[in-house]
Amino acid sequence: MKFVKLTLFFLFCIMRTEVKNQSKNMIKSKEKNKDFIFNTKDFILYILNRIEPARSDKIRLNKIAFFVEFAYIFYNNKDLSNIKYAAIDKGPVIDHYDTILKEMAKEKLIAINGYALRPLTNSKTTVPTNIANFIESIIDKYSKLSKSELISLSHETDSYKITTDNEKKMGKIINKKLASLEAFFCDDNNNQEIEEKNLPILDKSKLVEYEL
Amino acid sequence: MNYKFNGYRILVEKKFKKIIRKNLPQEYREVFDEKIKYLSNNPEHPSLNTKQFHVSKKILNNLGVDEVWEFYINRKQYRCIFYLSHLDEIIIIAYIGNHTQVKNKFK
Repeated sequence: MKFVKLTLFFLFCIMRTEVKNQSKNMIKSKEKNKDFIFNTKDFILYILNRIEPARSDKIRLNKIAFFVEFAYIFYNNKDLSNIKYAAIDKGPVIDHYDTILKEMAKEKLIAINGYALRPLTNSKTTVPTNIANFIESIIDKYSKLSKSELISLSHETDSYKITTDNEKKMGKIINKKLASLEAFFCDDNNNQEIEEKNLPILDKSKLVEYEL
Repeated sequence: MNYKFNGYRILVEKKFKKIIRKNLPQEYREVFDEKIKYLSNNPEHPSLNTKQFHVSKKILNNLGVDEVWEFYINRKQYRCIFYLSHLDEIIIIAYIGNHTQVKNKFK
């Protein structure tokens, strides 16, 4: 009887330790997500490794980086990378992308052939699974679009429109907080209408002009 | 959808600013102003996700308006319901809030 009691006690202790470890790991993983941020070169490598070789070029890289980062901020209210985005006449781009890409080519991280880009190595950043899933779904979605579709879509973004002066060279930096304006990132599946009988009746005599 | 209300004047109830302060976090108030500019100049702007509600004529008569619409202030979380009166060429902001606030308000 004593032996059974002891065994049960040990089993209980083991289970408790496992549960504790699991919750510690969960907390760690949440903390990891909270602190997670890509550096510029690793973010570029991550994207280039995900794009089909035939569709891997400077324009797609710039547009996809912008869409991925702004969609991430839109949903999570925090930056995904330390990249800054500039508004130029071709839409939002990675600030000084040409210099960064040339530097990466020198370091043998990527190969540049005209406008085409290929990664020569993987991103060194360990990306938490939920973030990786999010990023990859956005990369896959936008990398299917043609270059002109990507350019015109990026021209339509509020964050770009608010920032741009249509500069030919590197323009103003787009404030990442403006990502919250990009409602087109959300899908329209769970839309609920308000019951019509509950719409508020307003007294027209008490209406005033809305002052911006 | 018929978006023929660009250029309409935008009206609110006098107490509307109180509702904004109560229902809309500070960080979305500037966003709301940006969206109102779009609503006035280009209601089809993709960032608004403007959508018309299907409302019966009886209810529209009770409300004294022609159409009921909504746009999103921030993703699905915060939305704004507005009415149109074509004769007066006005947009009336009826309510703003998040899903729960909207649901509670109109339940």
